[in-house]
Amino acid sequence: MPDSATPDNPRRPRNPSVEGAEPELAELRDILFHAERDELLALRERVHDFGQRSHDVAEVLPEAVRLRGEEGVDEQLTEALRPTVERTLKESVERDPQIVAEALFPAMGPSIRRAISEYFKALVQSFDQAMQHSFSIQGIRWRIEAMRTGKSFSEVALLHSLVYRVEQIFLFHRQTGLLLRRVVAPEVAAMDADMMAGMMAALQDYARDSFHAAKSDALEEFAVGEFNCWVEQGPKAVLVAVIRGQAPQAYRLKLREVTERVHAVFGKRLDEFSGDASVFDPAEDLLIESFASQRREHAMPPPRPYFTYSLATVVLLFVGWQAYLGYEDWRWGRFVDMLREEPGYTITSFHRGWFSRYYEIGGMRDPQSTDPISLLQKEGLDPTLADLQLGRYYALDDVLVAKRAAALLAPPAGVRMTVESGVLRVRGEAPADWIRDLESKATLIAGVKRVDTTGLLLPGQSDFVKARGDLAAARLQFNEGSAEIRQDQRAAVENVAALLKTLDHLAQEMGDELSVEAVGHTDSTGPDAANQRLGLYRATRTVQALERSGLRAAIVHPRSAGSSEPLAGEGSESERQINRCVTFRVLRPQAGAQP
Amino acid sequence: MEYKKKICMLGSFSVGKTSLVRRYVQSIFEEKYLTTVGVKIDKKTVRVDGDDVLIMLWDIYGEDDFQKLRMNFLRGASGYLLVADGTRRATLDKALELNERVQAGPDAAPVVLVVNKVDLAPDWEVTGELLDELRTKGWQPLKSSAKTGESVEDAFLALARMTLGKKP
Repeated sequence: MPDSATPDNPRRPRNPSVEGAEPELAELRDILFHAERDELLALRERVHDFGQRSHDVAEVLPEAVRLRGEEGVDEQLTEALRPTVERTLKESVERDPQIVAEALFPAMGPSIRRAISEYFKALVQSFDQAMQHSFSIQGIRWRIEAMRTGKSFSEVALLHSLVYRVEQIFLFHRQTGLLLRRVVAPEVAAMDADMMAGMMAALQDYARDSFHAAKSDALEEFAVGEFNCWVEQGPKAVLVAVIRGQAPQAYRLKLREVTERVHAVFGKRLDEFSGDASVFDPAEDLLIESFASQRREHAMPPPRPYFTYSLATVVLLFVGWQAYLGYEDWRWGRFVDMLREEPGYTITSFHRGWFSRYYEIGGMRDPQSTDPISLLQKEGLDPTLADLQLGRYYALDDVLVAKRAAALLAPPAGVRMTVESGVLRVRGEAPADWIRDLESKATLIAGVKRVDTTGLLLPGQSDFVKARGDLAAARLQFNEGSAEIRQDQRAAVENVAALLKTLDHLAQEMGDELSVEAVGHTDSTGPDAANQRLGLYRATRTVQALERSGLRAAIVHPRSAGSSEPLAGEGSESERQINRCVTFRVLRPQAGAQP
Repeated sequence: MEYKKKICMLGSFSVGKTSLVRRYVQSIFEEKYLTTVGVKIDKKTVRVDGDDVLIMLWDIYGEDDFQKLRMNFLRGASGYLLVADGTRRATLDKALELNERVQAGPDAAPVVLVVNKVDLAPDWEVTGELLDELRTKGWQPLKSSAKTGESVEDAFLALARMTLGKKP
């Protein structure tokens, strides 16, 4: 038997005490254990041989994985494999998506088709509901609501159609029909859940038996009155939702998800269930989640009396409003009638729109007419309610023509302008250039046909006119048959001289030359020729007396009127006395109307 | 600790199953369920060594010539209450036959045999010898009465213990 315990075999264990000292013992050991030792060596070789080890693992791997799986839901293996599987899948897709796409195709087709068909089912359902509600009283109410809230009608209809409330959720064990967990919405009176769950399980069997359905088929839904029970059957557990009202189809998906998650989390416990339901207490969170997130408050219609009261209030308000509008219409109508009479207004239209508070007044208005806002305020009407559509025009009313002229000509203070049948009369005192301006512009003003400036004076003219009046009133008296200035008339002479000096001065200011005639008068006694001569004497003597008083020469010219222009009758001596006199008359300037 | 267990009550038509338990269980469903759906579910809580056992009792419509037992209703049962009518021998045979069928199936489970109508003992067709014979085969039949309530609680207790793997 060859001794393999040589130094050239490194794998051979060396025992110096045995090897060196007692070769007999080594020999003995070889004899006794040589078979086991060879086996040991072979085993060691197998363990250290990478290829062999891989081969061994490959042999047992499928069985090992299967065993691990049979032990129940074991997340360790899944967790260990997940990163590798995910990475592999990712890399594969990155490298060539076609391979994964082809592999998934058979599974994806049906799921996509199913998703699309579910979608269309839900769409048709909502469309049906919308159509159903479009032509009912409720539909009209919803339309109003849609208008009021600015939402689309379908949105509002959907909101009302899908009002539902999940009141209870049962989770029961499929095999035994025993209740595992139940969640009840607040304020819901619940019956005995255990018995209900049992009966639901029995009904499942009953339905399946009665219709000879396949074992995987299940009673998915049943309805009693306003309650709907939706059943989602998993392989090990069944979820039942008791719903008041109509839940959307999407909620079915939610139930399915919850069922799947229950199976994923509690799969092993469902398998091993032997009556202890408390192990499913943690499932409550899952059930609550499904149920709370899908809950909607049940919308209750308003109680009828309130609706009636509201309607009555609305009708009363409407009637009151209409009455108020009627009164307002009357007031505004009166105002518009008044406006038609107002100078500078031509009203062509007046109306108020349906359900509107605003009054539209159309027509034309002269810019010089009274401001319509102030007219409205004077009548106690709210100017903000007036929609005035007034074009502009020039009215030919005298009042407005006068206003227009005043606006354009800006007369200085002291000048008064009036218009009568298109004739602009100007009175008062004004500077010469304003008067020139007036003469050139006045007839261009709309409505002015002619200008009458006879009442117009230059500055100083009024003083002149006054002095001229005073002069006209002055009179020097003479004795019968005499042309001598009487002693008692000296003061009168001085007075006339002063007036003439003033007039001379004013005439020079006006750029004119004063010219006055002194007219000698006589009584009617005696021959005319003598009286004519006497009158001239009297006038001449007066002129001389005035010139002696300091008056410039050649201003006053003597003239005789004889007895032909008597100032009084000749019936008495006192009347004849009046006629023996000299009077004065301004010949130039002619400014101002002669009084 | 509370356990929930499904127990099925089996027996021929009119052996008095429903009346037997009526006074001992909580019930919310009407008896017409039995004839319409074929099953009525009641509830009973039994206390076993400090644990509560909530028995969901599936009262299954009695098998007769016209109606076969719906085996689906037995699925997941943890025990059976087998009921026979002492005054009719045939019902005992039927009960034993049903038991054989059940125990051969996937829902085999402990069983308690109750022979009902002990208040009518003189008219019994099920003789003492017959019961003894059953005892030799391992049965522990209970004589019960819907009228007196005799043995009803015992039957439930025995079943509850058995479902927990304890001796009756």
